[in-house]
Amino acid sequence: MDALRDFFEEEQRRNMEEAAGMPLLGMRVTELIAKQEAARKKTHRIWWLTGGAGFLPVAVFAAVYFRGQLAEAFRWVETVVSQTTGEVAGFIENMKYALISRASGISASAGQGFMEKATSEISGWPVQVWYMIFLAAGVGLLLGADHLVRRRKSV
Amino acid sequence: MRQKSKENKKTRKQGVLTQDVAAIQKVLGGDVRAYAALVNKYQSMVFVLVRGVCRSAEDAQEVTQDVFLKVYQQLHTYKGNASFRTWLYRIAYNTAISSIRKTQSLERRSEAYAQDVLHTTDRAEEETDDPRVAQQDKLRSLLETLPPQDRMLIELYYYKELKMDDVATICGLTQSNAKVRIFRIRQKLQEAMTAKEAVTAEEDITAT
Repeated sequence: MDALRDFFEEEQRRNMEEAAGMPLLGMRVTELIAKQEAARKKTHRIWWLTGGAGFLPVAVFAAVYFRGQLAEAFRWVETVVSQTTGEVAGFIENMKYALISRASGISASAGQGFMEKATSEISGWPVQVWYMIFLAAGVGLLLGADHLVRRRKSV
Repeated sequence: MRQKSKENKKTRKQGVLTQDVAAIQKVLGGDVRAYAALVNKYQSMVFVLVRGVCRSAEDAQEVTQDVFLKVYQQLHTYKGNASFRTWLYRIAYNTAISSIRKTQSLERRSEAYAQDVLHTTDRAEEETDDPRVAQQDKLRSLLETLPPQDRMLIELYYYKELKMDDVATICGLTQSNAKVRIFRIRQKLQEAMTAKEAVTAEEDITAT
């Protein structure tokens, strides 16, 4: 359907001519954006101020009127928080020593003389074990360096 | 030779994309002047696209401005998966469609206003002896009867700079779906043109 193609080509040519005569919109758009931003910020500020002004007397009134209940509530929150944090800290501590014990084969209760036990255990290892550990570390280091060099090349 | 020119075109495209991404980064960093430059760079492109569906150049200019205001608000959502141009076209497409809908609903509300606008359109719709101009006028009036999405789709399809997959992305369609819809719109227009020509011929015979 050539008529349609001709029509749109003609339209586009005309539109391009009109576009060429159009003033640059960049500055106008940025000015509008600045205005919009300023208006948005102003609205935001008004909302915050109104909200704050409304909230403050309500909060003061509530604090004075429900002083007893408030103190009780805070005490309850304090107890719950301290209980929970204590439990979580204990759990993490136990977990840490359980994992280290399983990995190294050294059994020790949480905290008590663990490092001393670990040091004496490690210093008792035969030379062959140390040799294997250093060999594995060396191979790992070489492989790591190789990987880094290859990756750098590909970029 | 052909491959070389293709490669050159590709390199140029990538260069533009990198420039755009750099400009966007600057804008997101708070550089307003970078955004003004971006607007100046793409305003003609957006104008040409929306002009096809707006009644006057002033309307098109206003829609173009709206498009760039929206783009600024949504710039942080641009992921860089599609080219900035396609992304910009998509926003222009949606803005133009909502603008057409707004205009149409306004016109429906006031018949007198619609009559007035029809008589004062920029593009002359006067009777002419030139068959080419007459055909273009017919086509223009037929296009105005199409739903906004179809009008935009056919505009984009005939827009030289866009490929089929770009058109589909901009309209939010799959490529095959876009092809089918374009085929149907063209068929519809062709049928309408033939029917209109038949009616005109009949009127001419009756007059003589």
